[in-house]
Amino acid sequence: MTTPQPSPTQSELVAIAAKALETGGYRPIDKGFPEWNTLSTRLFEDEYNVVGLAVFATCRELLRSWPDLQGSLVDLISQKVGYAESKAWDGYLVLLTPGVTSEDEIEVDGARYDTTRLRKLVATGNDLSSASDVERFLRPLLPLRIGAQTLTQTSALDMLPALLESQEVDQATTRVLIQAFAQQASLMEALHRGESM
Amino acid sequence: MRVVSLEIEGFRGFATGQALDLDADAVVVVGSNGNGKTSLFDAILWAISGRVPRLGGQDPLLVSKYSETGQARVVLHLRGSRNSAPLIVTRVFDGEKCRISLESGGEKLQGPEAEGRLIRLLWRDAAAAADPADALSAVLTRCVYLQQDLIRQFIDSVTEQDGFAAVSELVGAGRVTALQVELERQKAAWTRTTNAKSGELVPLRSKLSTMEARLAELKGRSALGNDAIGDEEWREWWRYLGTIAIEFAPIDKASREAASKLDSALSLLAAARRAVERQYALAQGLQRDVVTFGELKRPDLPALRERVSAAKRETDQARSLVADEQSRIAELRHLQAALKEKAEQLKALAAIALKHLGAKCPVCEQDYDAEATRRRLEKVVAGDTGAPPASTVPEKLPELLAELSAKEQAQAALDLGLRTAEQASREYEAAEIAIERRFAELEMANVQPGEQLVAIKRKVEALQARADKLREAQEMGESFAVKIARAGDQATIEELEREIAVTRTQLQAEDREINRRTLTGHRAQRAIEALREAASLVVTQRVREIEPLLSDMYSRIDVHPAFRVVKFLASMQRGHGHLSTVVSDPVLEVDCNSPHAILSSSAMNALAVCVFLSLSLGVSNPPLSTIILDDPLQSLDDINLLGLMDLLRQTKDQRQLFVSTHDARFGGLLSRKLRPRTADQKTLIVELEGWSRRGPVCQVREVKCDPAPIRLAS
Repeated sequence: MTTPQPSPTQSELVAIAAKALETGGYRPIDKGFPEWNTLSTRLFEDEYNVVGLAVFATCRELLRSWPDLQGSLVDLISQKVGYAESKAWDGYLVLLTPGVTSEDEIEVDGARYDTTRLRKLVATGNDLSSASDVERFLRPLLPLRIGAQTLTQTSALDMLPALLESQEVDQATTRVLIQAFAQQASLMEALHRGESM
Repeated sequence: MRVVSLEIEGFRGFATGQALDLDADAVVVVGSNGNGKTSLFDAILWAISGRVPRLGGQDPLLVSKYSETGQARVVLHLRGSRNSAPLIVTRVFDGEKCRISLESGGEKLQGPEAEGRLIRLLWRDAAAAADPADALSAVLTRCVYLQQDLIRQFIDSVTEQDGFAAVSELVGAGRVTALQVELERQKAAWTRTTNAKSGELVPLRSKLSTMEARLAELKGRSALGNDAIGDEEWREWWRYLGTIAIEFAPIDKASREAASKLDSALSLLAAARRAVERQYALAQGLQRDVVTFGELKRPDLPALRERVSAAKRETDQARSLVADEQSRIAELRHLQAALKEKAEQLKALAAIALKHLGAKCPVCEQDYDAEATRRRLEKVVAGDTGAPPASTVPEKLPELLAELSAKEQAQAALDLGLRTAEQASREYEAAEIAIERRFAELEMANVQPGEQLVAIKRKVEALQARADKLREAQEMGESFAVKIARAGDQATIEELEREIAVTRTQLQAEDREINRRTLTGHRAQRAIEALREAASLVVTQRVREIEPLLSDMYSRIDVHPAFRVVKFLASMQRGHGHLSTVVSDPVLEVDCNSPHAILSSSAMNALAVCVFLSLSLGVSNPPLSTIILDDPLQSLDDINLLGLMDLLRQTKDQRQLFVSTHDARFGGLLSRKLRPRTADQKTLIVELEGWSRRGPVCQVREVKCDPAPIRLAS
């Protein structure tokens, strides 16, 4: 049995989330908005979104602070982006805490599902047991990793020789079948001729 | 390949012609329900595949009720890369017949050729399917076009088998299944043919068996002896036939006709022998008859007849004497009777006279001597009539009768003797004639009577000798026949051995071929079983490759607070592939392969879109690099809606994206969310404003990219 890895700390969460966003194409904004450039807060922007990141020691602290942070983020966005501009709709507040809670879950969900001014991405220690959890949690803000996830270029038929060999059908036989199938020729004749070769 | 433009006329909600520029990275179609959003997307699907499966294959529904031409016509312009020549697909349906043409780089194809080229260009795998257009249509509705009314069906209404089949097609395993099904079909036919070929060998085996039995019989017979016919004895035999008037042209004993000629000769020889033996028997009989005839004497019929006549006369004389005597006796007896009658009458008269006797005569009244008369009368009454007594019958007649009888017996004996002698005389004459005839028959008519027996003896001896000679000749001829037949048997044996060898070789070759065919059948069966498993393995492997993408998308939409992980479950059960979508709680490690039991309707819609997008983006070479989502935002709650919009924004960087919505507010949100990131990107808004019998009014406008997208970081 492996020893469970300790959950990320508050500072680790900040670092992991910042790194994930920067890797995802976001630029960190470290000037002009000091309240978003502390040990527990960061501000990021890309062509579409403005993302405010805030990490709290506890859930309670998170629940107490997020409305003010939301107001702060809305204000700073409105300073730079006109109300009618599209970007005005693309503010995100990322709220993280390593703290674990059970009694505050309903309130945490309330914050998560409150979309009145900004979309909030809220995660507690219940959800964040590793760095990958943080990255998974930030995915709505990150580009799709299509390149790594698309199907291999190999066609299914081309996979058959190897697959069927494990079931005692030799590769040559399978290739004969595939070739005949592709040419819409008689499979049995091809197999028969192949057998006699 | 992505959509560049679309011309629609007479197709579903579009009665009159509309030409739409759709050459953009994202196209947001906004319009109230009924304004033609789905018709527009259906037109793209129909132009490519010739099908709109959602309509249940009812092609007449494709033609607008208000079409001015009575036909539906869609022209779809596609393009591979920015600088490549467009591919123009034109599909027309007049309510009965569908036509397609394809133009590219100055080349124009029509009909099946165009259909085939289009399928090869868009989804090469479909070309090998039983119905390529169906296969293409299935792939399009699995990874290109998510139809509004099928969003939920996409994951929770189709059976696991249907899901497997559709995804199989998408990930290429459909071809594996098609290969398996085709191999099964062909293998069944192959087995039937192999069995039939095996059955066809039964008569050949039977023929071989018959030939072998015949060969064994012939060999057994030839083992009894196989002497050759000597040339000299052969010639001598035929010469001998000539001497007995059986003429045949000389024939070689080895010739094919020798047996039949010999048979004919033997027939004649047998006939000749039968004739000689008959003559021999005739001569022997004649010899016996001549001896017997010699012992016979011809009866003296005249003397016999004289004696018979004398005896007859004596008999007649005796008979006459008897008759005379009998007449005399009869006369005497008549006289005696008359005397007796007279006496009786006198007695009666005397009695009456006594009764009436008186003094005088009662008759004449004269006197008389009454006493004397009385006495006299009393004497008469007492029987004394005074007449002489009748003479007695003499004893001569019996003697005469005895004598007559003796005479008659003697005459009868003489008659019999005469008749016997006459019969013997006739037989004598007949025997004489028969002997003469047989002498004639034996050609001995001129033999003198005294030399007959000697001549016959010589004849019998000659015939005996001839019969013996013929018998010897016949026996020799038959021995020749046996030898020739044996020689024929040898030829037959050699011919049979050749034929048996050929038949055995043929059977061995056929058996080898049937064994090879059977082995091929076994190999095919192994391949079929392996392919069944392989289809599942391919799908499993492919969906595993897609799963991270699905999981990525699912996590972006934040569908459920606990069931945050989604995956595919592919399996093969009783030869059929099953594919289901499973949601999991990673914390408590709880799985559920019936998401609808866990997720809300809104979340189910979001999940369906995620599954669709993951399949769409997971396929490296989809038929179109376009994703068409027909009003996917219905029934989504805010958090899912925002998550989905962010997902679509990320998606449009990967695929040309068409999204429709009936809600103008969502349309506005989409136009902002899907705005171009850079100046070389393009987003269009197609607004379908109102609908009349001519179709919707289409307004197309472009969404400009943000000229300064980075605001805070600058």
